[in-house]
Amino acid sequence: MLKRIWPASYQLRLLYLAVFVIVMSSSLLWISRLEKLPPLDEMRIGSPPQSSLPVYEGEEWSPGTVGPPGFYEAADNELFTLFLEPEKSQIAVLNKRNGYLWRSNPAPEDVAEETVAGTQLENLQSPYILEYTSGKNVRRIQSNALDPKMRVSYIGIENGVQASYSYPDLSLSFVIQYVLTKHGLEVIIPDAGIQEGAEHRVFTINPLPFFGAVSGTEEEGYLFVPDGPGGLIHYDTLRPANIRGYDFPIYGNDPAHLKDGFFDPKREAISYPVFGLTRGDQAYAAIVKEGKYSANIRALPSGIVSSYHSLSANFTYREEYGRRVSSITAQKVRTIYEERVRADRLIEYRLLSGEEADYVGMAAAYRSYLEEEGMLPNRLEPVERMPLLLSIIGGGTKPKFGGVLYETATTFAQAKDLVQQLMDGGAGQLRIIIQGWQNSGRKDTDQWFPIQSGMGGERAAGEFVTSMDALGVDVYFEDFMGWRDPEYTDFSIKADGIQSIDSTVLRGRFGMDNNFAMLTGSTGDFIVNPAKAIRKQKQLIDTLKNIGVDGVHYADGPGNLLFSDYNDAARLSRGDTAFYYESLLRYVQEEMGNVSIQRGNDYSLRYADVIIGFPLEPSYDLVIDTTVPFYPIAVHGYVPYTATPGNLRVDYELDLLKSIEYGAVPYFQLTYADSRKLMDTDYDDIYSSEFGVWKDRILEEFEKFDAFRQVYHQRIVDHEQLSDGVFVTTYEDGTKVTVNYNTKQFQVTGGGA
Amino acid sequence: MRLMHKTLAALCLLSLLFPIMASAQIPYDTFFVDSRHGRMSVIQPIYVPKKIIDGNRMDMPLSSPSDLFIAPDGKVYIVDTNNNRIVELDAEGNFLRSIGDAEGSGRLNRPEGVFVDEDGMIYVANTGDRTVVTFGSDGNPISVYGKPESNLLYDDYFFQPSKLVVDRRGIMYIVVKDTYQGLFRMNQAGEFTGFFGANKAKLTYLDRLKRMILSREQLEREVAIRPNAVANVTISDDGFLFVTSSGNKSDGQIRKLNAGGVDAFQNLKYDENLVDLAVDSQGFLYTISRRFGEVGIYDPTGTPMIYFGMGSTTARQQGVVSYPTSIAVSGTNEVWVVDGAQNVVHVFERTSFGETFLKANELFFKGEYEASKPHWEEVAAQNGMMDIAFTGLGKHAFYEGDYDTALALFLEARDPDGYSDAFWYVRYEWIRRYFSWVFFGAIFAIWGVYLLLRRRKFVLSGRTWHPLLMRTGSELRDAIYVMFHPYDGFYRLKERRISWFAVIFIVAAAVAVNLYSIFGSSIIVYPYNLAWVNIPLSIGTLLVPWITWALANYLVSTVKGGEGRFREVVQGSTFAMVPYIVLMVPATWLSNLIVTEEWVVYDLLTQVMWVWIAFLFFVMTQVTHNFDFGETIKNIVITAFTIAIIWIFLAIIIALSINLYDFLIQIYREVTLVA
Repeated sequence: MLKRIWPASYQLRLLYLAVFVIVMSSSLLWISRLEKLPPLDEMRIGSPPQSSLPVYEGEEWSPGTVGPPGFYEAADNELFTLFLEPEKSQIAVLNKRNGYLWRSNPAPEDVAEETVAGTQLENLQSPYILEYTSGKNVRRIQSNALDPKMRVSYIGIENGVQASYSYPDLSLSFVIQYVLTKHGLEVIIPDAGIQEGAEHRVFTINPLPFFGAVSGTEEEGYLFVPDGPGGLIHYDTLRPANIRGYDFPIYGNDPAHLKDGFFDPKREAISYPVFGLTRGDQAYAAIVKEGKYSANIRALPSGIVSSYHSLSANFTYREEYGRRVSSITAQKVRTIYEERVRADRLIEYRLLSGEEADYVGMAAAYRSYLEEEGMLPNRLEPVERMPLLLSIIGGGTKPKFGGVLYETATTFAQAKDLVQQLMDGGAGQLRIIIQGWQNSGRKDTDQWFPIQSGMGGERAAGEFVTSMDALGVDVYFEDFMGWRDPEYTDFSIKADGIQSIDSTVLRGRFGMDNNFAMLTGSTGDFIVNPAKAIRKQKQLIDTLKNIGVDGVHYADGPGNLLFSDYNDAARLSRGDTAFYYESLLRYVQEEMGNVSIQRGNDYSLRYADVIIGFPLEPSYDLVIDTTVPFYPIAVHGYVPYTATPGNLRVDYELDLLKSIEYGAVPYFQLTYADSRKLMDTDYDDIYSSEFGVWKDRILEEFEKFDAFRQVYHQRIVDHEQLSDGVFVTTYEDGTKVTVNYNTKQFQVTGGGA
Repeated sequence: MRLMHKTLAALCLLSLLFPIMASAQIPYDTFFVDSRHGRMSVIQPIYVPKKIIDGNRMDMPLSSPSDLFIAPDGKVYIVDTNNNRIVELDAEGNFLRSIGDAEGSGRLNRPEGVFVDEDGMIYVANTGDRTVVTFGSDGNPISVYGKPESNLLYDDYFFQPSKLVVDRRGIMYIVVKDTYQGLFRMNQAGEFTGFFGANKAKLTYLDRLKRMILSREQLEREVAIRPNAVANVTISDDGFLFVTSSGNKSDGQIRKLNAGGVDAFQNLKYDENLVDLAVDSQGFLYTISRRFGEVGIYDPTGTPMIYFGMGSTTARQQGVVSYPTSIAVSGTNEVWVVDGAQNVVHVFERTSFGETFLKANELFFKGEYEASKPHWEEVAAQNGMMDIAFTGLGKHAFYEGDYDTALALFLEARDPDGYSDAFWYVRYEWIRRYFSWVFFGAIFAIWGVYLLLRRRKFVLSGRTWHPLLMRTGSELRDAIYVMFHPYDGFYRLKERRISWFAVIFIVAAAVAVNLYSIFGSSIIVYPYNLAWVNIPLSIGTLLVPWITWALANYLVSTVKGGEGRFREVVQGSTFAMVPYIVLMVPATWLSNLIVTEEWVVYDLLTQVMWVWIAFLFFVMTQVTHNFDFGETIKNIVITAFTIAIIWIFLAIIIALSINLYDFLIQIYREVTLVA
């Protein structure tokens, strides 16, 4: 029969062969271009919004009522008056309730006493500091409002004034708008207002660098920076001569900018865009509302650029990076990226006084902002028992006998037993996160199914979830949305990985010298484009929903990792990534009902049911004097959060007290078997996790937390230090939790029932 | 089993494979070093930053401090080099006074080293003036020692004291900058009493070759090979001198010298960037390195245990150093590190886990196993990943006489030495208890085997066997025959066609025996975690040489006029492997019965096996190809060369194929992406 089909003549044979090749290659091409992932619409996720703040046209502003010497009134509302000094374009805001005047720069008589000179003295008198580059040169040139080359013109706008700065020689111009709100002052730098020529390019713009700055110790108070939970830089602390200022990017460095080196000391990235200062009984909290994804918070104690303590947000418009000369050598050429960051910038300075003029008042101001904008979830309901959070590690894949093998540390049946034992021991409402359940047994993977048979497989998972439902326990399964290991993923590096600023795919790299950027993934890992990664999530979410799992915990990605993609085909800014992550969290919450995140950057709070690893630890920075629970105050009562797992604490008792003081919920990371089973797996760093060893301590700690379960759903209204090592946190209903680090005790007093 | 010392960076890579997700609690990681297995793992912190001592607490801030000494009474002396003084602080870090800034003979000039003896006398290495100045405990200068007159020192010897220690007799051991003769010994009278403890220069093979070949004039023009210069010196409570050197021109970056100048660490190679070393009251060593700015904790035998800390040129956090210059340990086990660039002193204190771990090690090294037990148990409870805890518990059980528990613990810790010791006792017990059973059982077994052998022919011939089985059986019998009568056996093999089944059976048996030898051996033979065994690799190591040998042998021999055909060569090579199967099984079984001291038995058996195999290959070549003795040797050498050629050729082919495959894949990707 086959002999019949196969022709005898030579030409026909050739023809058959040619047809065959064409058909095969075209079908291969067609198959490869088939979209295997569901479109984003199915998940009700749209495109990132592109909004644009307007630049106003209008009549030239003319000075009206005289205010402080040199200043004229520019706008007025019920609570504040805005003044403008047209010569140097300085501004001032009068708080009508108490008559306090906030200046953008120190008064001229104070400036006269300054010891600095030159550019630094000019900067001190300017409401902005501009850095620009010239041609191909990487060196930055500073300019300010006192620059003779600058021309400024003003236009009156609703509730404020718009200042247009132009440098005709540089063909560079930008616009700053000052608008009064019911809380204070808004400073806006619209992206549409920036015009550049071919030669000179904007690098950074630092608006109001000396707003409310305090000279030396003329007043009592501190600068507040968002280091970890919150950090204070007191004015009256004696500092060594060679201190550095605090100048760090919000949300940490963008991995795509290849800035982090491996041998850098670890520090806490900034998780929320707020800074502020207090002086006497006045204070302000500045919230970076727009443009926070490419901004630094810069706090300069006295003695660095002037005798003033100052802080401000420094907005980045262009990045400098090392461009590889060839793929063989590691040699790099420092270059400035051609394109400008297209983002509007908006900071709101909320002016506070009296009782509110401290970090607690600042946190309350930030909290009301979050509530107004809908960035916080609904208030929590009061609970009968304090929730207890557990991560249960099923196991991990480790290299074995030349290949890899999954080593089980907890099966689903054992997990059920674990939960039962805890509930019998008196633990209250449990929430479980299952880790190590993925088929590949690795962390950075999307090869999820079938569920790892070492734990019992899908059937055991289903039984476990059902029995947990009966006990009223929520079960989350963990997933990683950030870095991916190329060997354990269905995505391809070249096609799906995000590209870094030097247009190569972003990989976790290791090099002995710091110039060869090592990024927070392990070697060889890459980050999948978030839009594609989210589309693949649908498979995960649908399958888990079918099994009956209550939610997903994102241990990496939404909540802690923010990056941009320089892929020319699908450009993403950090803001776009944040949008996608937020949309994913919303989708998961709609579909499954629960979602939890790691760390909790501010843009991810809205849909989170629980935050694991909330920033409660400082960076041990030398310039920061005190650590304060600013972020916990802003968030408590809306989302429960945890510190590091209780079994992995550095100092068990002190860290427990810290969790109590900062309003965290108890959290442990456990396995049923000895933690030695996790050696050589991805969970290698969980050095002590055996349930049998920890059971008693878990129940003991739970009792401690349960003693003040009434504060779980409440907001924190006050926090202060009573004496050395003694702190008290006050909640809405008056309950006070006093923590004493000297006696290692805590007390709960007062408040409603 | 020699301890391995790999570079920190290479071991870092191992721990990097699994990055830590936990939020940053302190700015650095703490690593536990398992020297026996060459692993490093991240553990909870042993030391955490306690405080920073900066210039604000003093009348004048520190400027480029270069040394620190903590006296037995707790007072801290910092050499404030650029301020030309010694700063004295109390144990809390409060400023007490400055020494050496008053005018007069006691005026210091860029000092770099300080030492305070038991009576409170302060010795300062006054580097700028090239003298050693002593002060009384009241701060008044007592004497100034300049360069001693001695005909042992050449005239232009540049005496520039940098660091110093003083022993109980009052002899000063001075580190003179950039000299290679070792420590400069000076007595209280200021007389030079000799050099002490110079580093040994390291010769590479090239250097040795040059020495043999080059003439005297040529050698003189070569750059002199010098050892590392001594960087720092510390004296311990029991009088040992610890000399630290940095650089890679010689080994022995840490040397523990006794009064005779003998190095207890035997010139072992350490980190090349060590700056300083401190010894605590229990003999544990604390080093500070400029490699990563890390502090290393070593046990009293000089084996690294812990690394913690981090350095950065833009250091701005507690516990992160910029340019470390000195380290010291206080009486309360605080670690003080001087940072010469930030002009501050970092003070670290032990965590409770650190206290437990180091206490357990202390007692362990002193031999107090009973006392160490509760500490090791606590360590194991708080960190399940540390093998050393099991070693500690094992030692305790061993000295308690509980040998079975000790055995299990040493197995868990993968400690072959401890296992061997415990095993000796377990075996002894077992023999004592079951000796009579074993004795009579052995007699029965021998009698039974004898009967079986006698009945063998009777049993075998009385049945009709499957012809394949009979054939294979006879071939295997011949294989054994070849083993004991090589010449005759191989001669009989010529012209015979051994069935492929037998050949494959023998090869499979060899593979099985190989795996058995890895997995069935005692931990004394193979102390590593069995999960790390790369099975394909180890089978490959056995089979690939054998296959290439057969191929190469055949190729060479046919060219050289041998008579053997390919099939005969394969058969012969297979039969030559039989000693491996026959001897490895009892050797492996035996390894489970011996202790380290009886190692020679196992070793002998395996050596005999390899020699036998080599001999059989030789005979096979000679007989199968009908060479004479000389020809055989020549052809075997050529065969070895051919094997090398084959492997090189294969490596190139594989590399090129990978490139080609990669190229095609890239084209496919480009096409599908662009299209």
